[in-house]
Formats: sequence, structure tokens, C-alpha cells
Amino acid sequence: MAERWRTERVTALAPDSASDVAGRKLANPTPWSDVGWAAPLLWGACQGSGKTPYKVAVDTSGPSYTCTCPSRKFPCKHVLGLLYLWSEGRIEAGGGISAYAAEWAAKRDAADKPSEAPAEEPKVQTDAQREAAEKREALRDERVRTGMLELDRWLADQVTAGIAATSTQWYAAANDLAARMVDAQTPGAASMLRSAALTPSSGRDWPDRLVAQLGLLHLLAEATGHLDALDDDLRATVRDHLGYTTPRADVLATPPVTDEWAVVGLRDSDEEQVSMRRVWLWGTKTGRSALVLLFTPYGMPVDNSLLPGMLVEGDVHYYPGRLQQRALMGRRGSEGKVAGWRPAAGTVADAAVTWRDAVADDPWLGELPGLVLGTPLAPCAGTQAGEERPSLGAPSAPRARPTAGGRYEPRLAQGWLMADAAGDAVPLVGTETDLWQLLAMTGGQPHPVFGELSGHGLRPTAIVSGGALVTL
Amino acid sequence: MTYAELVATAAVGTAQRPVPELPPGLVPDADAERTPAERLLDAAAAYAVARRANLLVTSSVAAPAGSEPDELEVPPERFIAALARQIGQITDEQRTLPLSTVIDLVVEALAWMGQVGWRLPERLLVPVLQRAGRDARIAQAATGALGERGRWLVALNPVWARAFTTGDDTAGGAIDDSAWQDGTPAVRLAHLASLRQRDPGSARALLEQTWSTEAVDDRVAFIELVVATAVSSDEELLQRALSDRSSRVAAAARVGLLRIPRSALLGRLRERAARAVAVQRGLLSRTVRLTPPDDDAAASADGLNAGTYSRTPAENRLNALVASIPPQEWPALVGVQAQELLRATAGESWSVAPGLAEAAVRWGDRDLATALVEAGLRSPDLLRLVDDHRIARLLEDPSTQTSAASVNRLVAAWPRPWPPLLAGALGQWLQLQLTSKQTTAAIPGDVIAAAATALPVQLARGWSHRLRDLATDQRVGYGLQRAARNSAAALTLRAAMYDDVRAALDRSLGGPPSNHDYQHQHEHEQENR
Repeated sequence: MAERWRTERVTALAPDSASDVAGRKLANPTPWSDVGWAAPLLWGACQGSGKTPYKVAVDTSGPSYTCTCPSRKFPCKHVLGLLYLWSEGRIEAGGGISAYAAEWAAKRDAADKPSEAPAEEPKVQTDAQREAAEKREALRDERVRTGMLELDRWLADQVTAGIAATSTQWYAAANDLAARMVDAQTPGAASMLRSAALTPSSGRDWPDRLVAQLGLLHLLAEATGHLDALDDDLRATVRDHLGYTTPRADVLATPPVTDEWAVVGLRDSDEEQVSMRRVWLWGTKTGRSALVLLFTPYGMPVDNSLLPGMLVEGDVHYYPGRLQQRALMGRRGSEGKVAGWRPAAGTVADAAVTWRDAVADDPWLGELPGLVLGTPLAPCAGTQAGEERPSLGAPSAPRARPTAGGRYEPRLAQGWLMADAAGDAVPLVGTETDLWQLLAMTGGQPHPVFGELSGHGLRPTAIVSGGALVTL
Repeated sequence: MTYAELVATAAVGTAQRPVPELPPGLVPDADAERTPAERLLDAAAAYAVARRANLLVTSSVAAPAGSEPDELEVPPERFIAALARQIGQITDEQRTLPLSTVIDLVVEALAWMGQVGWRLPERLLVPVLQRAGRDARIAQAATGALGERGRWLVALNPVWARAFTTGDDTAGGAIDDSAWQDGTPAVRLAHLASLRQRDPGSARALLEQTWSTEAVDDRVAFIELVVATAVSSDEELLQRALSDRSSRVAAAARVGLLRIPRSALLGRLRERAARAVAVQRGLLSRTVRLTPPDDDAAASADGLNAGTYSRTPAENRLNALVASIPPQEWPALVGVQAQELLRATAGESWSVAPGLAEAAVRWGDRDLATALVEAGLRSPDLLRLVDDHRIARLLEDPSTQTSAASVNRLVAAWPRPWPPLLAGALGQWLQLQLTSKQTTAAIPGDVIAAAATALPVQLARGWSHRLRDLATDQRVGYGLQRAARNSAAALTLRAAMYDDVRAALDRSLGGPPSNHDYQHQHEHEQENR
């Protein structure tokens, strides 16, 4: 049986904020009649300005929806209003399914049947097509190699002249080169360059950060020059960071990992021309994690098929690469809510090792899903006098663990931490609101905490409390 | 070579500074033929990866005590969802209701929760505490609904802790005159109030020390503080302020002197009042004649020429005099009630009603206020003194049905939430307007907007239906339609949330039949009628 949604999920479904506002205005019972819910079907009739009410039906398992109103928005405000009412518990299960909803559901079922055949299979190419494709691929490889060589020379020029001397023209020069990297079909390198272009204006210690970025770009250029010498997985990792794409069909053709996948995190960002949604999945049986990237043309409604807190039975297919993180969701089975889950959460030290090993496999890695059994701690300013918690930043308080390099100064943690039973703590990163929310949800007691691990610490996204997944 | 040395070299450039010796093994395939820039970039890459790989771990961290278990229950999920939506709307620029309405709804819901012993669920604590840090009303309402978890969180956050700190910090503490010497106007006023509460003599002495050098706004604020609790020992100070160079200070001081029963000013005005009113007694009736006070220097000094009650100076002086006499003193002074003075000018082109109204409000005289309201005066201060039943009858007055402004004035005087009796009468009046085939111009938009949160929640459902009718009534303008739509939405929400809390509220009030039941019944009666 489909679970009742939380209102946040309805909000996420709105194509734009105006539709959301209009939908919320309709989230009161007065204009509605003939409403009911028989999972997964939800229906109702909304009295608008005309004589005939608009008929609305929603399949909450999809979700998919229909409305008789003339709006071009999809979903329209009537669908959103009905979903808001339902998510707030103001529509009880029961009632005879309206003729309109029943008819719509039947049509959908009929239309869905032919699509049960495998949707995406690798296309069969002719020899000529294959030859042309190989030529295109070789041409692109050559462009990429040339482009990355140019990038590496440019990096050498910068450090020869000194980044302090070139910092005033840095932004324009780095962006110009990024544009040439796009021409050279290395959008990944272009993106890293555009990020580095902003560093000199990012505040104190910018040379420290910029040198690290230049080093990673140099490493990518070096790896590109030695692609043929790399093993398959590392080559795939480098190609991924350069911006090569792997066809969906090829990914879906890989052996699946079947599990009941919990959606433990979600983050949206706007890239050039597209909105990107990063969805972290965690296999409740296998304990494997996966990152699903959902791209949407800018301004279009984002894909809401995977939202935090959902539990989806299905197949995940991983992209090639050393880390095996990025994945596609293939077959999807039943959906539900996480209940009675006791994930095997590790310690802070485990998380540190996991991250270290991941960076060793993929030096350009941005973040990785993590699961730590720990207690969040608010900044010292809020603690009571006499508590044992050390004053962060005091000379004797935090000490960095010995590391492989071990020669550089430890970065003093500031503010928020998450400590485990052994007394080890990792910095928590995120907005003040999210971190206070984490503290409110845990009450200062140890909980399994999911989040994004990065070099800066753990960005919490969800906890497991009483066997249920609670997203922040 | 440390990373700092590497960065320093990159900053000035390898052309200016040689690349330091790299640690052995840092760059595995170090090639002697590589240029200095390449060697620096090799090292930068190695350091960058090593630094990124090192997730900083702090050791020996002891977690402080967590929150105690909560014994209070959380509200039903439906109530929580509705409250969460309203809290979310506070910061939503595209909110569907006006901000003040949304805050009122949140405050009401939080107060209910505190009343019935429900606590905020964990996921709503942070949004509520963040708002409470900026809005004292929300902090006050949320206090009873924090639960153990909420109180524990508040103690960890200095901003929230301040928001939930109650009591006057200065009360009971040592008197520190530096606040008076160096404080902001608000701090100085608070200091004076605190000192006056504990030691009125010292407060007066402090005020007199700096009186001549105070700015006019400060003098007004200080003297109003004294006036609010004036006693006979303040007379000397107030008498001096009566001749202050600022008319605002003098007017405030005069009010203070009038509140001191044995003040010289009130004594002089009593004498004038006795001379101004003449009562001629006949066999069956008596006639009251009013004579304005003389326009002499003493009249000006006593403030009789300062008012703007009427058109002529003489009528002004008479009104100022009437406004200065406590209404209950008239029988002893001249042998007639204050209400009879009102009748003395019946049929004249002028009246002492403005002066009497001021006196009724100043001394809280309900009988005189009622007489004045029935005579047609409708100031909010006056209406607040009048019994609810009489106000309800005013809504049946044909004159109020034709003027939106008059209904507006009437309703503006009501306390919030509106008394059920008045709200019921207003509902009937509104129904009459809606079913009338004539114009609906008398429906005031301000009243409709205020109904969203001022209406007793027990009447919300019935009103929301009426307001929806109004929102689609083609005879009214867009502004009124919009106000009606917003209020209908707010009232629907309040009614729905009240449905969830009502049983628990009844239990908290000692079980049915409760006041709420009575009011609910009242609503149905009103609708049936």
C-alpha cells in the first residue's frame, strides 16, 4: 500500500513556486468534492471559477496525475492542492473511486503494458556506423589530449610567473581557458577551471586552496597523457572526470545490484543550462551506496522519482570506475517507507579510512556517502560550564591524527562535531539550520547518521531513529 | 618542504624562487628533467590528494549530556502538518496569507499546545525556535510546548536562551545610576521605572537633577511615566512641568495633576465647574444651564484654552473644563449626573459631549461612556467601556448598517479574540448584508481582514462559509473579495486545527460541558437564526 506523502514531497513536485503557492491555496476542503483515496489512487473534484468542477486523479505510486483543467503546468495547482490535502491527512482512505479516476487508471494500465519490454537495449550498429563512431571517438581523444596538454602548459606558466602576480587577470584567463577546454570536449576540466577561477576572490588563504586546485588539474592532465597505461577502472575514472559520458544503455547492460534502496540524501544544484539533482541511495540489505544523478533542462520540473525517506526495491547499475558510486536505477519494484532498519553504522575512524581509501582510488572525488554512529555536538558557545567537552581551537584540544603525508599543519576544527563512543569526532558541515535540526532529531544521543563525506567533514542528510529513516 | 613553502613558491613563481627539495617518495616518478614548474605542480598534486584524503579527526571528545526523555505527547500528525505549513509560510516570500495572520495562527496553535500539554515534535523545534529568536510572541506562546528536547536545545543556543528568558533583569538588582547617566533613552526609561517602583522619592530626585537638560522627547516620556502612577507626592514635580516650554510636556503634566484627587489644579477646576453649571429646579423637571469659563490668565494656566473640542474658544474652554472633572464628582459639585450635562446642550449647535467623552475614558466611567455611545459617539476608547450587549444592539442600529466606517470603528474597539457575543452579532450583521439585495458597501474590509484571527475559533467554520460567499460576490470590489478570501482560508485552517485540539482542550478545562461546547452551540444557533 502506498504511503501517505509528507508535504515536502508535494512541494518538491511543483513545477514552479507560483504553482506551489496556488496549490497551497487550494489545500483546504471547501472547493473539493467527491474526494477519496484507495492506494495508490487519489481523486477529487475541484470547483473552480466555472460551472463544472475540474476532475483530478493522481497515482501516488508513480507519481502520475491528470486534471481536466486547461493549465499547461504539469502538475497543475489542482493536483498539488489535492496532494497537499492528502499529505496533511485531510483525505481519508475509502470512498467509491470516481468514474473519471477509474477510467484514467484503466487507460494508464493499458498503455503501460507494451512498455514492459526492455526499454533500452544497445542499438545494433552497422560496420560503417561502427567505423564512423570509432573515428569520432579517436578524434575526440586527440582533441582531449591536445586540450589537456595546453592546460598543463598554462598551469606551468602560472606557477612560473607566480599566482600572486597573475591573480588580477586570473578570473578572465581561467574562464577563457575553460571555454577552450569545452571546445576540446573536456567539460570536466572546464568545470574544475571555472571553479578555480573564483578562488582568488574567495577570502583568506586563497593561495593555499588555489595551489591544491592547480595540483589536481595538473594530475588530471598527467593522467590524460598516460591514459593507455592505466588500468580499465582508473581509466574510466579519469575519463569520467574529463567529461566523457557512458551511454545509459551500456550502464543498464551491466549486472545489476538488487536491493531495497533507501534514499538517504538529496542535493540540488544548477549547472550550466541544467539543474542537477544528486540522490544518494543506500542498500538496506547489501549496505552498498550509489549516487544517482538526475539532470533536467534549466527551468523544467525536476525528476521527483527518488525523494529522501523513500524505500525502493529495484536494480541499480553502476557506471564503470574505481569507486563504483555513480549509478542508474534500472528496474523499479515496490515503494515504501524504511521501517525496522538497523544499518551497520561505523565509527568516526571507519569513516576516515573509508574516505582516505576512496580518495586514493579517485583523487578528484568530491564527496562520498558515509554512515557513522555518532552524537552531534553544538559549538562550544552553547555548552554549559563545567562540561568535559574540550574547547575547540585551544592549543591542547584537537589534534590531527597522523596521516600518510603527516607533514602539514592540522586544520583546526571549528564549531560543530560528531563524536562516536570512542571519543573521536569529525567536523560536521552544513547550514546552521540543518545542524541544529540534526541536534534536535538526535537529542544528543548516538544515532546512525547518513551524510556526504568530504575533505571538510560530514554533511549530514538523514538519521535512523527507531528503525525509521528521518531526513533533515 | 612543507605545503606552506610550496604555496609561497607558487605565489612568487618558480622564476623568482627555486622549488624546495621535495620529500622523498612524495612524487614517485620524479624526473630530473622536469622543469621547476612541473616539479612544483607534481608536488602540489601529491599534497592536494594527501590533504584531501585526511579527514580531520579530533580525539578525546566527551559528549555532554543529552536531552532527557519527553513525557509529553506530540499532537496528531494532521495538526503537526498544518502547523508546519504555517511555520514554513513565515519565511516564504510567496506566502498565501498576510504575515501577521500567519504569525497569529502559529501563536494560537502553540498556545493551544501548551494549554493541553502537547509538545512540539522534534522536526518542528528548530523552525519554531528560530522564529522565537526574532518574535517575542512566538517565544511566549512556544514556552509551554517545548518539552524536554526543546528546553535542552534552548540551553545550547545563546540566541534562543535569550528569547526564552523571562522577567525583568533589572528588578531586584542593585540600583546603578550609570544606566541613567549613559544609557539609551529606552534604558534610562526602564531604569527610572524600576527605581520609581522601589523608591519613588529617589526616582523624583533623579529626574529633577537632570530635568532642565533633558531633550523634549525624553521629558515627555519621563513625565508620562510619572503620570501613569501619579500620587500626591508627585504634585510639585508635575506642577513645575505644567509650565514647561513644551506644550506636550505641559499637557501630560496636566493629566497627572488631574489624577491626584487633592491637587491644587483639580481644586481650582472644581470651583470653576461649580460656577459653570447652574441648575434650575421646577416642580416636575429641572433645567441645566452651562456657562463657559471666563477667558482669563488663570484659565490658560490651568490648560482650559489648550483643547480643540469645538468651534468657538468659549465652547472649547467649557469642554476642557468638563473633561477635567471626574464624572462621579458632578452630583456633589452641582447636584446633577454627568449625563445630564449632555442633555443640557441638546438642540444646540455645539455640545459638551467631546469633553465628557474624554472624562469618561480618563476615569473609566462606564455609565457615562454608555450614555455617550447611545448619543452617537463611537470612539474606540469609549466603546471599550460599554457592555457587550449594548454594543451588539448597536449593530442592529440602522445608522451603522449604512456605514462601513461606523462598523469599523465599532469593531476596532473590541478586544482580541472578539467576545463571542459580539462576534455572533457581527456574524448576523454580515449575513444580513450578504442576503440583502442592496449594496454591500457597508462591509468594511478591515473588519473582514481582522476576522481571520480575531474571531473566536469556535465560530470560524460558519464564518468561513460566509466569507467565501463574500469572496465571490460580484457586488463588492476586488480588495474586499481578496480580504474575504484570505480570511476564509485562515478561518478554515483554524477550524480544522481546532477540531484536532478541541477534545484535549475540553479535558484540560475540566471536561464537558465546556465553554467551547457552549460557544460551538452558540455558533449553530446564530447560523440557524
